[in-house]
Amino acid sequence: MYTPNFLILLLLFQQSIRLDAIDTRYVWGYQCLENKCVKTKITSENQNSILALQVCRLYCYEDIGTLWPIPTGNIVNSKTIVQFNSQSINVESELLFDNKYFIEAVNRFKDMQLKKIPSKYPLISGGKRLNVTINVETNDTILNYDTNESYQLTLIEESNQLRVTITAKNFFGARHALETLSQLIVHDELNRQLVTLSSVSISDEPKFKHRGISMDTSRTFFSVDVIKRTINGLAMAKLNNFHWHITDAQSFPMEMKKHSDLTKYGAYSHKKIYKVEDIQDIVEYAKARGVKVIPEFDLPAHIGEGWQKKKEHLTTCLNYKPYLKYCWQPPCGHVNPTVDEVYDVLEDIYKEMIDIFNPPAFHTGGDEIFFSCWNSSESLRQWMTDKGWTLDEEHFMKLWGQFQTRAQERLDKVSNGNLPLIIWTSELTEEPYVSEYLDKSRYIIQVWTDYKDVRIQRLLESGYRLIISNYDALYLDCGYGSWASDGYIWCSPYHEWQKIYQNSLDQLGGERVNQIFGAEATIWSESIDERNIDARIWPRASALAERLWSNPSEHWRRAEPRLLMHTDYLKIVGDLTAEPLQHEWCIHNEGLCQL
Amino acid sequence: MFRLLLLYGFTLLSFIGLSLAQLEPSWGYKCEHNNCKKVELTADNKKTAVSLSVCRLYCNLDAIGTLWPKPTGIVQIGNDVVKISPNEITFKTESFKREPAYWSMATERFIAMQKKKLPFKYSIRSGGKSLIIEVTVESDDMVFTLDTYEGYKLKISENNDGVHAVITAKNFYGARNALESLSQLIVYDNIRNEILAVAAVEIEDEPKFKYRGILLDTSRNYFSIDSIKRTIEGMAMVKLNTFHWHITDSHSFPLVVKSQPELSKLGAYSPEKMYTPEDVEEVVRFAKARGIRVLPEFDAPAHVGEGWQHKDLTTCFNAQPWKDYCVEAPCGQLDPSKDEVYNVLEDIYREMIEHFQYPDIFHMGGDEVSVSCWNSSSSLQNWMIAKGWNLNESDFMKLWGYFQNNALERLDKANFKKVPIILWTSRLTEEPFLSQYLNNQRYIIQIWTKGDDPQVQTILEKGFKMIVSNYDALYLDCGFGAWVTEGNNWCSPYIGWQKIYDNRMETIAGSYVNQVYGAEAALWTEQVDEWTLDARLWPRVSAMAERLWSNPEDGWRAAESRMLVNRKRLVDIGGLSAERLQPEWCLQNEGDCPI
Repeated sequence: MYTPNFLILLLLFQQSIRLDAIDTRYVWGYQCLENKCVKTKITSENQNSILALQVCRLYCYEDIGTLWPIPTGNIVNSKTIVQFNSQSINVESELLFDNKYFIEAVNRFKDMQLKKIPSKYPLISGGKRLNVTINVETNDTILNYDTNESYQLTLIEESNQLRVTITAKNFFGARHALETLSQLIVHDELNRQLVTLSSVSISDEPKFKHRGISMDTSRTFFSVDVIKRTINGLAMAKLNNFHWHITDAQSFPMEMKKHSDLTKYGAYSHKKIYKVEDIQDIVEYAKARGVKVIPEFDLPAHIGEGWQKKKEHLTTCLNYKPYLKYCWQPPCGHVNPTVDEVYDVLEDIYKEMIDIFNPPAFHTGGDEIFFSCWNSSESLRQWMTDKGWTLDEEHFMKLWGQFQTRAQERLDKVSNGNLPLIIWTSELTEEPYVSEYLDKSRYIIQVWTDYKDVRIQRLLESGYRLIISNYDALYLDCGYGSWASDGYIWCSPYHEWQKIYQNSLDQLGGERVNQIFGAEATIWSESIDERNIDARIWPRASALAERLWSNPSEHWRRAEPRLLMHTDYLKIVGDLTAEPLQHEWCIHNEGLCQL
Repeated sequence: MFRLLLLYGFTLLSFIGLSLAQLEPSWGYKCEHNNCKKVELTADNKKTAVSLSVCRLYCNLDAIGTLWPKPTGIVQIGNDVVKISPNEITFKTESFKREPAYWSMATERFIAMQKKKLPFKYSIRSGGKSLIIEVTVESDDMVFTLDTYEGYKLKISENNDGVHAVITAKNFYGARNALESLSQLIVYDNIRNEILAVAAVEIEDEPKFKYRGILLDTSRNYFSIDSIKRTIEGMAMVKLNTFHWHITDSHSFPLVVKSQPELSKLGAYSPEKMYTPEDVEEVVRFAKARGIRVLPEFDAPAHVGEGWQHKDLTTCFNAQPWKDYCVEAPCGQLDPSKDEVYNVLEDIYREMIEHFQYPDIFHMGGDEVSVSCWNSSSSLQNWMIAKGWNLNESDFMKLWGYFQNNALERLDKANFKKVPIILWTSRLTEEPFLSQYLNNQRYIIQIWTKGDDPQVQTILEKGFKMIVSNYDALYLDCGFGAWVTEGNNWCSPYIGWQKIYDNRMETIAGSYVNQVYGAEAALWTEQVDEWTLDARLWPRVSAMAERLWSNPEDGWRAAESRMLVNRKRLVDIGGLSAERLQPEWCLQNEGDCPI
């Protein structure tokens, strides 16, 4: 332990700090002045007290400057730091010791510490052992909306070790605690050590239970590695939900055993397929990181590629042109709700998806239905006319509602019959249809209108539970060039992190905020691929993460220096090519860039 | 020479016999009405269906295949392709004796580019003809200036010995451009698992504009040498010819100047984030082999700061609140009243000229000079008053003119010759100062106003040559979050490739278009680092490359499907993480996406 401002202590504890270790390549260091880390030239006078930037940020701040999201409970910490031995980390748990997710989480924690060390400049050895003891109440690893994610963490320096005690209800809370602990450990580049605070106590739990992103793997295929890298990033920001929009009209990359033609003809290429093993691997990977994988099978619209080999009457308006008459984006396609065989195919698909994903909830899609698409099918029109229906909005809504009911029956048949269901906002989620067709004890509505849309309030008043993805803050694809013409993507401009951070669910929900499960940032991939997806998601999804976990009342300005640190952390420890929010000078000169 | 049909009639049996069955694609293409149409591969059409890459070579309305930028002279591309062996590429030439190393680099690069077309996981089918490239140039001179002729002729034919590509050009640079075009006529066919070249080609080509560039700012964020080389590689692929290196600014000073070591020692972001003389020389050599000049900029008298802090030669360095003294933190300007400033500048210029290998043009910056910054120094005020000047704007303009003349004198002294100088538009390039302080025979003005700014006409009327970087089309950093506050950055919205493509020099310069040397896309890096660099530049700068090289009559729509192929080439062969413009579906379904 040493207190940078009191040299006497330094002399007493020379074991843990080596004064001759200052890396002489550096000319700048930092000192903590009035809660700010101020860039200072290293001199022979100050070299014993000068700090590396990350070290300074640990404690020289109103908040612990390296934590993201900020904990919601009590935080007490020392303003002193201690070196520990990165080779000697021990994590124990009586109840979890042989749990595979726990073992993975511990290995991941250790690997994350090693990533902080620059390959060219190895650490100078020394420091204390880090002993982590984890106490949980159960060995169960069920991850769903009822999972308690809270934890408490205490870190105390003792004469021969750093003792960390983590108390949580279950593995998932304990895992979050390890995430926090990792953020408390920083690389001191001046002294080539890993250091942490010498005393910390934190209690923490999330404010919202659904915290996630959705990823679209149909418009663009993303490799398994990229999906894993993304999920690992979610875990680093304590996001807990990966909504996998796996299929759409553009391609069908999901391996199907029974309906293998969907994949064979629907994938962009034979290399762009998620095999069953790939998906299971991803689900397990996510679980070890406290992340639920919620699959979406979007219907009755948003189908296309892959379905061309099915009998023609199973679909309507498949790849019709000009597409704007039948859908928003080529290729068009809806399933034909009047054909019984459609539901048999759906049941097969649902069954395989339930088996593969074993999901805690299921997303049934349900957005952007075009009646003109259904109306283009003569057999469908005939079916409606035979029923005595007219070809007007009222009856197409009925057709849609009945489709949803019948599809749900098939889904329930192949699952436990009680799975939470998620559906996008659409005409069907408006009254009177929503009450007629969507059971509020089963359906959670995912909102993708803008923030001010009155339909959000109506759904809350009708008693529905919501996941918020208001496009004017949480659609991360906005702001780029239009892909179908000149001009811009429809939801432009670009949403900066500040807007996402200030996207208050409290204000949106008012008295009914407890009906809001949380929020999700969406990454529609018309113009995104695996080479640029990191920059679209990060660090903006982290801004959402703090909104949902911590729900801070403070302005984004207070969080900004911490977010800059966190962005670096995502890059170095998470291998994510996050968008740089500001040039490096602003990181070095805290608070001097803002207007 | 053999036609596709014959070729595959002949090899079909062996094709089926290969163990490639599981890798076989489900889809192929056929040419219909000058569009490549996706068709299901069946036993019947396997003889005639081709891969997308092959189809696009010859199946298009303007008969220029996938060439980007499109040639400006004769183009004849035959309908037949021939299999070539990538291991049997040979060069025959009597030229390039003066500096043979550059030609070796160009040929090695060409071969490496062909290897990048091969699949990763399995080897291609053996066989194929050898490719013999015969090159003749008029001059071995390697000097590159604004007068260098970059045109070439390329002819491909086939006989029993192999495929012959005959290149004639005036010099290395033209020959190199021919290799670039040749490479674009060679593709991998994923149906046959072979490398194919167009069997009969005749092209005559030369650029419409002489100066085709990209600016990269390596001060606000540091970019590794690898990422700079990757950028230059991409530039070569689309026949851009100028890499404008905005190497220093007020935020950091990464350039090592041996006679003024403090500049980078104090001014670099970290000890790793410096460009040594060897680094610079390596970049210049790498670029030259790719037909690209590296244009150094030393921006002064504003845009200085970090690195200069102990010299006592600046005014308003890091003054706060910064918006009172400059447009972006940290502020800083050289103090023109101090004679020592010019000595330091001479040292910097001397070393830059040496390490940039005696550049044919030099950029002296000259933008965003702030009167309030100079006026904040009492010693500078006293100096002006002692000279009998007042402290009005016109006096500060006189001070600026004084600085510019003195700095230029030192540059000329260090260079032993007078090269053209580029300056940014500023108050100094407005009348009456423009005529008063700048000579139109010496200065080229780089405009960064809007395209329709009246200043542009004035500069042209006064007889200045011009480089166009109108921010409303060529500032590639626009459209993201405003990093000093919330909202979007100053030059938002994002500029789509279509707008860049349609940014015509004639529109900007009118009847003075002959005074326009060309244009440059600028990438300021407040919010860009080496991991997000590629996506900001690519493929948007390709749009500018075609505007400048080909200056097509048609707008972006005619180039759209070729642009998607160009983008894929930048990714696959250039290793660039180019932004995806459209879902992959649009590449596979030509013409079906644009509205």
